Amino acid sequence: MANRGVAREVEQQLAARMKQGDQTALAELMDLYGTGIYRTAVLLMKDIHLAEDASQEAFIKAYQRIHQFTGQGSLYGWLLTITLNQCRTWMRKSAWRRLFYRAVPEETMIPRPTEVDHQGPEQSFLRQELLGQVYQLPYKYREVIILHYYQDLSVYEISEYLGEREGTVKSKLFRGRALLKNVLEKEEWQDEGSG
Amino acid sequence: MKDRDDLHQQLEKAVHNIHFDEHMKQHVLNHAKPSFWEREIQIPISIIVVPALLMVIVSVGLFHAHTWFGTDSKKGLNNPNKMVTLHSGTFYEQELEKRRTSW
Repeated sequence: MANRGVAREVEQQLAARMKQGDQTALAELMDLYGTGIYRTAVLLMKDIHLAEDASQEAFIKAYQRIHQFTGQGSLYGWLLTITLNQCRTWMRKSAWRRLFYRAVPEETMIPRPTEVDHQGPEQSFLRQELLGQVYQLPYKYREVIILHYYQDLSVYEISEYLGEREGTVKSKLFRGRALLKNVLEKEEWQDEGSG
Repeated sequence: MKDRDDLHQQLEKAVHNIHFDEHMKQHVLNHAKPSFWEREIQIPISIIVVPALLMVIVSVGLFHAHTWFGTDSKKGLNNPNKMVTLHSGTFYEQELEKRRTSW
């Protein structure tokens, strides 16, 4: 992610100011991480409106619970954990809603690549197919795939943020990649190690 | 051969038009209020110490009162009700004492 490299001191200062009730610090936090968090939520939830709500709620919760941030890890990681929990909660609610009200569509908007692909229509088709496959993955696999490939997180980091064992994350990553195998093979992408 | 950066780029392309805009920011700022339960409060020591001392004093007092009353009630109950079983029947000890002294 573009803004993951923000200095620890900057994060600590923002956290300290938020603990004092400074809303401008929250605004700065949103400037730094808002788009990254929102995009992650969109990829996870396949629904831009749900993702908007979830990411906004994540920042509100972060502000309200800033006293729980001990400063041991990164503020971004802590915020990401809140977002992931938020997304899981919303997805669970959404699943229940779908169970009882079948008329409700599964997703109101699936983002698609909008840039003109300079590598030609075939590549563009394969890439769209890949994204379609990612969106088709069960949530538990999509979650680790997005965190690993989009957020560039290591297995260890993902296990920390999700509160799961490294082995579990590796297993999910392996199965997620296996489900994407057809598309990956078409693209001749390497099934790399999960370090 | 491609690596994980390719998938990263494709995912990035899929969402590159999505931004956390000012409207969303404003919504968060309007709803972000310090939590009632998470806020830091300062409680003067006297507010804690005085009720705590009172509780200790009352508890100790009640304990002693219970002990004293308990003993008294034991005495009061046991003595008249103490019974003695003989071949001829069961009698109150006090009654037997009275009869013995009258004989």
